[in-house]
Amino acid sequence: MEAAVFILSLVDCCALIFLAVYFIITLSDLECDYINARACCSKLNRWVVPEMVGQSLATVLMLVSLHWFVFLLNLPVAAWNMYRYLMVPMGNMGVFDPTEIHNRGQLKSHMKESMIKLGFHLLCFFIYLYRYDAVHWCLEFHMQV
Amino acid sequence: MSAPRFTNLNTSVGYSLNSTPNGGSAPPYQNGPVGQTYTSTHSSTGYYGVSPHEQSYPAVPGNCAPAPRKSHITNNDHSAYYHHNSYQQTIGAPTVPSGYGETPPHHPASQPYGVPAPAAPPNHQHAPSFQQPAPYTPPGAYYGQRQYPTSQVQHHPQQPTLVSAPPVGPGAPMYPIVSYPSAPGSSQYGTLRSSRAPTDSGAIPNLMGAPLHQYPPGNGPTESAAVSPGYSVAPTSQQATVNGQVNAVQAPILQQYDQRCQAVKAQDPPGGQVPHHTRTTKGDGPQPGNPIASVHSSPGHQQGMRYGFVANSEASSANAATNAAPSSSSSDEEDDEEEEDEEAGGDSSSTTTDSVSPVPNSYDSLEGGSYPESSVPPSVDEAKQAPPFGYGYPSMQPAYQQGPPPRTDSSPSHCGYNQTGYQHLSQPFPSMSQLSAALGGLSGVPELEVEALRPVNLLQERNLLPLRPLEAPEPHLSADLKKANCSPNTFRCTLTNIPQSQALLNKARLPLGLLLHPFRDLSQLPVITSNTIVRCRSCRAYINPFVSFLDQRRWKCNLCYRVNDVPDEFMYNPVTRSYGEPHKRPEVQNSTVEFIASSDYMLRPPQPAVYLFVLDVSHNAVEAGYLQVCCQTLLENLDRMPGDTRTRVGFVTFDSTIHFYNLHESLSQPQMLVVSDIDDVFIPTHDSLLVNLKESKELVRGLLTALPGMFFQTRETHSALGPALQAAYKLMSPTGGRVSLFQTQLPTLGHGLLQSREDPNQRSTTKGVQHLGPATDFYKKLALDCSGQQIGVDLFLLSSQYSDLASLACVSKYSAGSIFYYPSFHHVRNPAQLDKFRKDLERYLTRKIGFEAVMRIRCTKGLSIHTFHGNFFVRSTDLLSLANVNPDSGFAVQMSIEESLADTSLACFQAALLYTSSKGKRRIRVHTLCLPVVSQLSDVYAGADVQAITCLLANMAIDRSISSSLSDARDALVNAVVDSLSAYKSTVSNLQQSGLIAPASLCLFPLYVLALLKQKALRTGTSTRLDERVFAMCEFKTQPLQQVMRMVHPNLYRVDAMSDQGALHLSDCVVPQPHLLHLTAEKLTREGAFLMDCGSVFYLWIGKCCNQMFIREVLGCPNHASIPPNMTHIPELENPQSERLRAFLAWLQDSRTFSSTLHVVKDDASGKTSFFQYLVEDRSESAFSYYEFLLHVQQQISK
Repeated sequence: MEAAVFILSLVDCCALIFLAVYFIITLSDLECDYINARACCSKLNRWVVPEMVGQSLATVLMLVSLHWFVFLLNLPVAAWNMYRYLMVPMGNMGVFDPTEIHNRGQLKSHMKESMIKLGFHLLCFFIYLYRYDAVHWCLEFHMQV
Repeated sequence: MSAPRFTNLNTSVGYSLNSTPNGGSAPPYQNGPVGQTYTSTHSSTGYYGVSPHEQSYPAVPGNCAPAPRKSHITNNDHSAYYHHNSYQQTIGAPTVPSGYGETPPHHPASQPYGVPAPAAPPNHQHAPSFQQPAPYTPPGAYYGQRQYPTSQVQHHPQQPTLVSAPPVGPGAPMYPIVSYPSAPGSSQYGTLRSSRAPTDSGAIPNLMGAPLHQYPPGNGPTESAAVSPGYSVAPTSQQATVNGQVNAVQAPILQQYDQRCQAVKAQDPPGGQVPHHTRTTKGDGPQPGNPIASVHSSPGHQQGMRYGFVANSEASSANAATNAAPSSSSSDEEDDEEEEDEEAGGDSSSTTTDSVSPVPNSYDSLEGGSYPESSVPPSVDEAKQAPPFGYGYPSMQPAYQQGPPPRTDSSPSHCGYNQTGYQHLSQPFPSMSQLSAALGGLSGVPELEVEALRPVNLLQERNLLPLRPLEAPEPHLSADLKKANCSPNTFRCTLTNIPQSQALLNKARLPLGLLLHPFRDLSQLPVITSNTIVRCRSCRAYINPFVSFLDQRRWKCNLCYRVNDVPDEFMYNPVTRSYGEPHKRPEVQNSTVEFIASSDYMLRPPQPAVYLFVLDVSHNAVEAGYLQVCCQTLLENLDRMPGDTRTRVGFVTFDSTIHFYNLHESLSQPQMLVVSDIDDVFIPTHDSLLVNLKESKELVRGLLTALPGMFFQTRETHSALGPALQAAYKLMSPTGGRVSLFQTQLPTLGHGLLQSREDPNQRSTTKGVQHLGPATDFYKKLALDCSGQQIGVDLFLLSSQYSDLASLACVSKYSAGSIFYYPSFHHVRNPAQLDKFRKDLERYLTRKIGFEAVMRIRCTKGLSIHTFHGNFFVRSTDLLSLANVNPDSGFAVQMSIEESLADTSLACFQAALLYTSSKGKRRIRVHTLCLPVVSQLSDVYAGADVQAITCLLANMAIDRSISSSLSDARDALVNAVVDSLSAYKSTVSNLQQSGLIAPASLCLFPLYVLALLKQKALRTGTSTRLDERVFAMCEFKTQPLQQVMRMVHPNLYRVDAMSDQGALHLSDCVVPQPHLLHLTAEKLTREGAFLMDCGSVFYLWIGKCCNQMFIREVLGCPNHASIPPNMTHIPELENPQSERLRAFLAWLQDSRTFSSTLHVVKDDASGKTSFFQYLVEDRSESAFSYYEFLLHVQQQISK
């Protein structure tokens, strides 16, 4: 059970890492003018909900397996994702809006946000890995004894 | 050979290719529409000529069986006749049996619609039930619901089978012949274009290559000069000043040109086809522009061009002769410049000439065609450039000196202007390279600095307003940089001294940004045709007056500091016809220049001018009565719309269905095609909905005459705006162009339908104002699609009720359109609005336009763009995509300083606007602004431009109020004042006196911010309709600075006792110059008459005890009581009082492009509120007075 939770979290975390990297790559493409704002935003908006779901899944998994520390670590990020999604004004085309992304340094702040998320997911990844290993070794140890 | 020539040929090639499939509607495309579902298209027809299939309506009882008309039968090869399952036309024609069949064409208004046949029930069933696809119900008694056999209606639009329609007997609807090259969704032009591409690209190298390489070498400068007979004599006043030192040589030069003209004329047959604008720098000695080389055009072409040239050269030589004597002082040394007189698109004799001229490159001749203008004495010319401000300094100076606050910053600098200008310019070449080093930014005039920094105690000094409208502060640069700098009307920075680091900027608490008006109507603009446009190789900046030449062959970019090579061609100076004077080239002499771009700057052949008018014809629209005015104005200005022989127009009307008009030239009358499938809009026919204006002018005229009558009796109250826009998008996407949308109500059907969001009870709330943002992203998405296809959408909203402008405006905002709003428009009840609409529309139709434009703003390394304001789509960090660009829109840009500018003394900004002119030529207009960099906070304050700061803050506040809330935005505005003044107090002024201290440069800042807070856009507490508020916000974002300032802080003048003292003496009249008054009721007296200039409106306020004489002489009324309540113009009376006022009004009007309406306001209850709301210094029920505001600011500072 414990192991399954962590394996699942690990997979989820990997997906989130990939997603964060994808966000960063796409945004930097936009920064360098390789793609246009419209294409960039529609690409990214497609992945906002999956990201939110992935993050919530990790949070919920930690909650049900009663890992309070990791749960509390994940909760703010999940809440932020949710908040960001819900606070999109009606006329905007999603979290990333092509008409605004170049204004008010939004591109930079999106970039920064993705970077921070990437760091966070990497951290989580190692936490899960460590916990999983710990559980795993524990089990092995028990079996050996 | 020069680029434009190539362009010409190219476009003509493109055009002819294009025209074959389109224009001809060639037989291959005429296939039976068996595959199409024209759900409810009807071959309609403006005047209801009966189309053959009309015979197929016998099932409908009570209808006429109109006789087929010959004309239609002959025409039906070209036209598509469509069928309908539910005939939804609300025109009322059906009820008029006789009219329907037999109305003579060109008699539109008379019968069919106007006269309901007494026998038939009048249009009763045009209720919403029509929209239901109720096609298969049993035939009703009325025409409107004609039923057709199901089988025919089932065709799917995508079905590609194109089989010619079988002849249909009576009883079954006859399917029209449709010209459908492809499935309805796809664009005919798209396919065409792709097939054309190879041809074009084949043609391009040919045409271009030949002229480039076939110059017989050695013809030398003589030839190249000979090419440009006329231009040399076009005096620019600017140049007159600039080039003062060469005056001595001028006469000979002129003569030479004259001779050359003759010479060229003599050699006409071989060399005559030289396009006239080869005048520009044809390169250096060995590769001069030899006219003879261009032998590649077709014979016809050559003929045309040659004649064109002959005519031109004659004209210009004549001009040269006449000019030589009087304007010798103003003639210039740069024969590669030309003047372009495209002023105020309105007049354009040029447009007319062009549209009728068969000569392919007549545009060239037109561009040069401004000689009469150029022979005007330079002083007048200069005045024309900036009418309100630039006029006659000498006469104004005494007034300046009298002024209580001696704001002398402008006049002395102007004096210095000319004198120093000569000296510096006459310096030898290397001095240019040392300029920036020598300047150090502050070598200007120190006393100005001191004056701008003079501490002003705002609580004590009451008369802060200058006597004349405020001018832009001059940057403190050396005189020749100042002279070369961009006009403040075009390019303005909030801080004319750029702080050298972000930290310093933060300390000053002032916003850093630019205000641009890049496509302004200019009376003088050097246009440069050159094979290579010299640009920096790393940052791609255009060469400009502020680059430094390291030596003869290298120049250093002033934006990125890269050292570039000077191309050979650039070394040749056509002015002196000498080699090695690159710094004398016009690009390096003028900060505003226009290049004719080569094919490198085209992604596709330049598009023709394409105008599509999308008109709301629902009941509401007819009730408001705009259609009549709109069509009338269009009719009158059809010939004045910018364009060439390729210009195309189209019309779409909509209510709950969408009506297209087939205007193919071969038709005798326009045909109306109705599409009722608004959920999935398609274009019924591709080839003749957008027609060549020239070829189909009669039909267009016919349609415009008929349109108002056609919908006279409509009962359709719904509006399918979204689908109509989608249709417009589909129609325009192959070419791009301008869509003018006229809407009168909330869209209620189809995509993009909107609900009313305004709660009238909340109009005057002081709590947050809701719904400032769009309700749906439909319009935004559509606008982005349009922008991608180079379609600009301009919105005219003529509505009496809430129409959710916040959502609708998005369609223009992101497609670089303009927005016009006429609240409570009604053709009878509101004549003032009607008049304004007519005038605005006239200006709108005739103003210049640029298509498929992009604008890039570059700035010195270290500065970066933070936010853009205006109508456009930001395509990348510094690139704005403007589907259309018009001369009336301004832009604002917020900047941030990313790296320290400490190692440079000058900061430069360059805005380059690449566009396709209405004549199908690719052009680049480049503006460059140069400002000093400073390291002292006091210098930053000294250079603050309070008007620009106010405008930029207004833009920022509007963004804030949409993204956050209105109260936030208001707080931010107040904080801007508090922060900047407290920062000034704590850092710069060392006076420890109490009171509110501001530097003189910012002494109007609190007043302007207070005025901003009382604007419709940002006010609270006063009842403001949501749409009007949103419109005011849109205006702030798109109007150029001068206009915004007039709206924010109107100019108030006392006009009942104007004297000629200090008046401007213009060539034809004397314009009195009354003093500016503070906007407070205190300044109004009952004995006076006051004129308030609010930008788009003038108010003439007549006091109760105003001089009877004045009322009689100016207004033509015996006394105050007899002044009519809604007086909107001043009678032309022959007496000095009246003449003076009218001259003043006309002079004020001159400085703006849209004509302003005048309201005469009597000093009684009726019109007072509208006038008094502009008195921003007074207390209103919900807002501070100016003094209270100052106290509030002071309190905040001391906190």
